[in-house]
Amino acid sequence: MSTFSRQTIDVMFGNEPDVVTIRIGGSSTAIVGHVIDTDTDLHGNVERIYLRQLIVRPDPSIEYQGWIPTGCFTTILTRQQVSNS
Amino acid sequence: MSQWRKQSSAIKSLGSSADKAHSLGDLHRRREQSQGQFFTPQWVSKGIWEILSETLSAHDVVSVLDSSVGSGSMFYGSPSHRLVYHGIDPDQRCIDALSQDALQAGIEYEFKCGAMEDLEVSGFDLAIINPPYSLHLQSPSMRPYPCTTMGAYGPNTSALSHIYALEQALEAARIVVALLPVSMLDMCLEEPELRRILHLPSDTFNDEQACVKTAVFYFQQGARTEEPLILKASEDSSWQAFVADPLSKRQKRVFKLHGIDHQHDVITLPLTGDKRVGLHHHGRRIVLKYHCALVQAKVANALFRDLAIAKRLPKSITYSGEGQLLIDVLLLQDDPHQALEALCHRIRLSGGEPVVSDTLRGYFNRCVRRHQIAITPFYRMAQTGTSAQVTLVARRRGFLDPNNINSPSVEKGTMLSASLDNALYQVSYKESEVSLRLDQVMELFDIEESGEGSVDQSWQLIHPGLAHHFPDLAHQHRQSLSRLGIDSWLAPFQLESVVEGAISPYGYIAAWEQGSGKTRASLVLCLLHSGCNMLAVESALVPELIREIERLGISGDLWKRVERHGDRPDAKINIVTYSDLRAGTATERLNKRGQSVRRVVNTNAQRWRRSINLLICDEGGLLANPHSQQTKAVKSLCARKLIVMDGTPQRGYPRDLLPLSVVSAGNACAHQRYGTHSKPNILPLMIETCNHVSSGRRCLLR
Repeated sequence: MSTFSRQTIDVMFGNEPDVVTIRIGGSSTAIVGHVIDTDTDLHGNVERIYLRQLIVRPDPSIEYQGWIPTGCFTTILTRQQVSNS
Repeated sequence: MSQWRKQSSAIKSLGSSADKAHSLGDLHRRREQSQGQFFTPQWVSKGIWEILSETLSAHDVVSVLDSSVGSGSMFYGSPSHRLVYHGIDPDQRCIDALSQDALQAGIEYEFKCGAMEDLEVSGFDLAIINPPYSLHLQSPSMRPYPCTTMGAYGPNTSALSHIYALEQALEAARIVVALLPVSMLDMCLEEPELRRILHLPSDTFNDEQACVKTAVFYFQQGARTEEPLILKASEDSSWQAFVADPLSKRQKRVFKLHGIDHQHDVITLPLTGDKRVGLHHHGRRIVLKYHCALVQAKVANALFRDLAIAKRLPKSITYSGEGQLLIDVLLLQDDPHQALEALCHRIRLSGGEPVVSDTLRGYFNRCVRRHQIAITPFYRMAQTGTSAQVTLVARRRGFLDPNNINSPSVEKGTMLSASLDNALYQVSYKESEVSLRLDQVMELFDIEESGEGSVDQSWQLIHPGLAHHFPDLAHQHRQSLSRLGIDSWLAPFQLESVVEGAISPYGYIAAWEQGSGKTRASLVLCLLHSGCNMLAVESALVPELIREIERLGISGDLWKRVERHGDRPDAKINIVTYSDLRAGTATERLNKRGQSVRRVVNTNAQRWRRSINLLICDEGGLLANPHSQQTKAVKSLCARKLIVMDGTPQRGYPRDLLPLSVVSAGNACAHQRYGTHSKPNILPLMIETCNHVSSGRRCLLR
C-alpha cells in the first residue's frame, strides 16, 4: 500500500564535517544526519555517507532521486549516478 | 487564510470515480475500488475551522494531524500560517500533490504515504479526521485500543477503520474534531472528552456519490462537566465558534511510520579505524563487539540485510539476517564449525576483522558436542508385526456404521470378522462392508485377534540408544554407579535408562509406567549428578518417598526435606513439595482498574534460583500448564537440567507435550526447535533469511 513512485533525498553539507542536513520528499522538516565517515571520488566529491542513525527504511518499490539510501541498521546514502547518455 | 492547495484540490476521490453499486455484490466491489476515500465538502471543512478559530487565535503555532489526509480537503479554510500540517494516506498521488503544494506555499508540513494502522503518533495539539468508514484494518503494528481485536497477526491487530482512527486521534491530540457516521453516536457519548455534536444533512456527501448520515464530533482533553451540546449544521448556517480551554504545555511530537526514529543515533562509537570485530556470546546468541563506528555501520548493515518480514514475527527476531548470529541455527547446519567460519568470512568481506573469543570458541565446541548427544534418540525396542485379521465382538446393540442408519443392526455378542488395512478396519456383515477407524471400532466392539493371517511378532531394536553411540560416557557413569554402590538398587533395564539419563546433556520427559521404579531411578539420578539436586513431589507423596529412602538406607547427610522458609537446599538430594516451591510472601496491590490483586513475591523457588543442578519433577505432567504458579515456581528455579517424571505426561492433546518439552529440553533450541513465548521455530534455513519465520507453537499446531 505504502508506495511512492519517486522520493527525492537532498543532502546539504555545512561547516561541520560530521553533520549533514537531509531533506526527504514529503516533509518540510529537515533531518540532522550525524555522519560517521564519507567516501569520496577522485575529485574529492562525496559519493557515500555513513550515518549514525536510521533515517529511512529503503523500499525497493520507490525510485529515489538525488541520494539512494541503503541499510536497515543505520542509513548509508549513496549519491545517484547521473548517466551521460 | 490563503488557499495553498492547488494541485491537490484538483484530485478526484476514488469514491466519486467508482462505479455505482447496483446490487449487494457491487457494494463490496465499490468498497474495494474506493478504499473508503470520500473527500470532505469544502463548506464542512470551513465550518470546522470556524469552530476552532477562537482556540487557534490564542496560539502561535499549532500542530495538526489528519490520519487519512486524502487531498487535504479537511485543511480547506485553515489558518496555514499558524499550523504545522501532518498527514498520512495510502494514496500516493494525493501525498505527492500535497507535498508539492505545501513546498510551494512555504508552510511547515510532513506528509507520508502509508496506512494509519502503521502510524505511531502522539503529542499533537489538534487532530482533524474524516477516516474511511467500516474498512477492516489489519496490521502487526497496530496500537492496542479498546476497539482492536484478535486478527491475522495476533492479538490487537484488527479493527474497523473509523473506530480505530478515532481512538488513535484521541490518544494523539488534545483536541479532536472527527467527521464520523451517526452510528458512532452512542460510542462517542461514552467518551468523557466529547463536548459537541453537529449533525450534518444526509446529502452532505452527494457530490462524492455517497449517501451517509454523518456528524461532526468535537472532543477536548479532560472530562466534561456538562452534557455535550447537540446541534444541527447546514451549508447555509454559520458554525458557532467553541471557546476551548487553552492548550496545555507542548509535548514532544511523534509522527513515525514503521517505527523509524531518526532522532536517536544507533551507533555511538567513535571513528577509530580499528577493524576488529569481536565475536562473543550472550546465552545462545552471538554478540558482535565493535571498536570503530564505520566498521559497525558496514558490518551490521551487511549482516542484518533488512528488517524481517513475516505474518506473525516472533518478538526475538528483528532483522532478516539475524539467524547467522543464533548458535542454534549454526548447530542445525551440516557443519556447524564451517557455518561459524562463513559468518567470519562475511564480516571480513564487509570490512571487519573477525576475532572469535576463547569463551565463544569453547562454548560453541561444547554446544556442538552436546547437540550431537541431544539429537541421538534414547534406546528403544518395539514389537513389530501385527495381526492382519481380527475378530470383533459387539459389546452392545448398534449400527454397523455408526454414521449410517441404513447399515445393518448388530446384536450384542455378535462376532464379526475384520481385516486391518492401512489403519482402517474393513468390517463386513450381512452383505455390507464398512471401513471404521480404531476409535469407532472400540466404541462398539471388543477386539480379539483371531490368529488367522497373522504375521510373526517379534521385538525389534529401533534405536540402540545413547550408551551405544557414546560408550565412553556410558562407561564413566556405570563406573560411578558401581563406585557409589547403588547399581544394585536397580534392575538391569532401569540401570540402562539411568545411564542414558545421565549421559543426556539436557532435560527430558521420562514417561515410565507405574510401578517401573521411577522413585528409585530419581534417587539414583540425584546421587549420580554432581552438586545439589532436588526432587519436587506432591505433598501427599512425601511420606512414601521418605519410606523408600529409609528402605534403601541412604545416609541422612545425603538427603534433606526442605520445607521451612529459611531452609537452603544444600544436600545432595533435596526433597521439596510444589506448594513449598511456590510459597513466599503474599502482597496485595491495585491493578489498573483499581481492583485488589494478590501476588506472592520472594518465593522459595526464587530464593533458590540457580542453586540446583538436577531437578526431577515427580508427576511432572502438571507443568503442561505454563501459567500455573507451580510451573512458574519450577521455571524460576532455573535448574541446569530438569527431568519430567510422569507415567502419563500427555493429557488431552499432543500439544500438551510442548510446554513439557520447553521446560525440560529447552525453548527454541537446535534439539527442541519449537519455541514458545515469542521465540521462533528454529530452522536451518534461518541462516539465509529470517523472513516468514513464525513461532514454534504455530508450527507445531499447523
